[in-house]
Amino acid sequence: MGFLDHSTSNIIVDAVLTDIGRQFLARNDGSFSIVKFALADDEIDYTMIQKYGRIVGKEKIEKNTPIFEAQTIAGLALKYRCVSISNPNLTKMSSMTITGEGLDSSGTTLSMTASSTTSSRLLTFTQSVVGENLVDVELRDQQFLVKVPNNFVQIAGAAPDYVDVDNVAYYTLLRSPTTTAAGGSVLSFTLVLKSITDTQFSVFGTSSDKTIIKAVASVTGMQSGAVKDFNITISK
Amino acid sequence: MKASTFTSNVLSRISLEKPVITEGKFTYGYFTPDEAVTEGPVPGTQLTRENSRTQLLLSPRRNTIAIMPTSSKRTSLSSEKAVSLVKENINKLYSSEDIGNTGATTIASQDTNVLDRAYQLILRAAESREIEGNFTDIAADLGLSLPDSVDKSLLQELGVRYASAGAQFAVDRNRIESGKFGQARSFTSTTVVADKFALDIVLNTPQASPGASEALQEVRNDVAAVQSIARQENQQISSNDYITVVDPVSVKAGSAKTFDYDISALANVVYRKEHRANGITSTKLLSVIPVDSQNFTDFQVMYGTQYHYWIHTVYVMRTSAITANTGQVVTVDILLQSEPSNTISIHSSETVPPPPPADIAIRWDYYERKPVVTWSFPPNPQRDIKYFQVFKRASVNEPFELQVEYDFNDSLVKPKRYESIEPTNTKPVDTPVLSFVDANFKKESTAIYAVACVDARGLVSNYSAQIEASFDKIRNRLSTKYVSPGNAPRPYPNVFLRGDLFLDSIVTKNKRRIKAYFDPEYLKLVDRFGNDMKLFGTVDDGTSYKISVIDTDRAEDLVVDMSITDLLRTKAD
Repeated sequence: MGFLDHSTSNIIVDAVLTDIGRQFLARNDGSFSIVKFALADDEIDYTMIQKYGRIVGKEKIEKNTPIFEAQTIAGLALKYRCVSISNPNLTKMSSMTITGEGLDSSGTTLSMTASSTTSSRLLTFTQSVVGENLVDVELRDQQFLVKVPNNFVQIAGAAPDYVDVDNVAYYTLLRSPTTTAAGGSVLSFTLVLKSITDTQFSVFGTSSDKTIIKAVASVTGMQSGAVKDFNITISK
Repeated sequence: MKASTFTSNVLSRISLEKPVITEGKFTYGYFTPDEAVTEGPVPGTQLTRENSRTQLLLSPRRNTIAIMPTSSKRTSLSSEKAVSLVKENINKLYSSEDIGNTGATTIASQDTNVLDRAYQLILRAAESREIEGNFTDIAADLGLSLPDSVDKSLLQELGVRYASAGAQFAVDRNRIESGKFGQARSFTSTTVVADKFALDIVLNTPQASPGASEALQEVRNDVAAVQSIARQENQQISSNDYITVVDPVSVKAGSAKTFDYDISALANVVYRKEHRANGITSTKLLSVIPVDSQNFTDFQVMYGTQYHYWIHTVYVMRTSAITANTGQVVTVDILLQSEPSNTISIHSSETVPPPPPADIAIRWDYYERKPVVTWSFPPNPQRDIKYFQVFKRASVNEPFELQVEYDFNDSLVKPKRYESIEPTNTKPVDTPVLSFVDANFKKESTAIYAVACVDARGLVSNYSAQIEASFDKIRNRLSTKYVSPGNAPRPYPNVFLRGDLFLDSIVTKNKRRIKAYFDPEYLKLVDRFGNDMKLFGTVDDGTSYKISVIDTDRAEDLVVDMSITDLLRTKAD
């Protein structure tokens, strides 16, 4: 749904049903009922605030921001959802750090090798907030959405909720029972390489080196919305 | 009979206009674990238009009183200088009795507990007359015995005080406070009595009301000491009795030719008396505020404490005086404080239940092969949610059963719970848990889940949205169905379902006889304290049950009386 506030346009609210919504409506059994809504700020460029200050920047955002057409694809309609938080004085959102075996010094690339002892990696994601003593209780992640390339890796001791058409597996994992001193959540899981054939290496390997496959995984905190992306480099 | 004679001085006094507190209220900002044992923090800077909103948002709790300032002449000093002058000379404030004479005492009384007392009085009257029922029944019965000239609605108005008995009313309490009882609570009487007869006067004062009597009893010990000391002093009337010795805040050279005076209002001094839950009582000077301030906010508030506020207006009196040591005529400034304003009482507690949890959802954990119920914190500015409860039922025709209660209450003082939770259903956790894995779920079964939350006061929310879950073996996935929107009350989980909430009557036809069976699941029901709830009435107590049969074709009806004989008791007897 797009929301337009333009003095020269008659369109105020542009709403369409998503594909999922059409499926529910097509049941025609009276079960279709809108029970909640979500807001997002996908179009907003907050660097305008940094560039022009709060007053002028806000005005520029309000007047100059183009609004997306309403999307029927649910996954694209709202990418950056707004969250409701009770604390009006909250000024800092939490972030996530990754630690574990096989990570490079910057913590952005995970190395794994097929057919060796490094074919599985224990990873730990820790929630923290910079400049604060405590993570707000409403931002403490209870569940994490983990997206991994299903062709190459899986999470030990878990089954994916579903696998999309691009072979990205979606896992929903609960946080570990322990928390940090600041109350931040901790998530630990073991990423395990699947059996990768030579054909897969030849198809998915990098153009310069067909013995290396590069992929991307991500972990999203369901409460805080914090996202941690990391690269996976798989050697033959 | 022995009689004593004492000399007494002429009583004189200076009348200074006093301010009036028109309203007082407690505002709960947000929860802090030590709120019941520690006073709230004081904001770092003065409240201004620019930062007041931020400071109020940062304030966890506060009491605010509205003030009607005096209309007296104002000082020519700026408000900042006037406040500063009073603060610097806070130990040099003289009351009107200090200036007016040296042999009299002022006794101020206010019946702030008139509501509670009237409420208890009515309950006792109902008990002695053996009137039972709710407060409406009691008020109606008692009202019959009152003459027509008495406003009987006052009895019903007192019903709002049922809050003290554990029930909460949705009546706007301000309506009652501003009514006749409110006027009675805010009425203040001030009496000046000679020291030598102070105790005798107090003891012989006709008891106009129990409240006035209690107020006088509070000062009885003080008055007794004053009278004792006064009678031991010199019984001769001396010119010294008419000399007032003061410590002025400023002294300037004066003239013996003119003896004039000038009085102007400087500032208001706010006092606070507190009654803590642990029985500790203390009084302190809270703040000095500008004389034109129309409100005052007290941030140093402890949750659950009863506070009483009153105000004195401080005046500066410029007059001529004679120095004690040299006898020189000078012009002095003396600080006088008015009689206390009316006292306003504020109980720092809140009774707002939390909203139900949001975003309830159920997914299937393919590894554990069990459903996982998840939810999130509802937007709750009070931030006082301390328990989550997960409920489950097999269908809408069955009641919800508590599966687990997550207890993450970090409050230093635990609340009184209004529910009885089995200890086996309670799970203490360090940090909030927003998920529940139903280990008892069978793939062949269907279950409806709902979540509720409990705040730091023990107040419970309504149910969240209700989701029905069943496992679709053919598609190998969990099927969920939205059963009910959120906010259904605890006693009525089906209130938002389409259809009748209650079955009004049994509809049938072609019947000639009715067989009624008395088949209760329990013969005796007791509450959490073990008291018999007396839900069953028998012949012994005159109870009868009625069946109303309506013939809709002929528009005729028949009422059949039924009674139950308690054979168990008869046999036991």
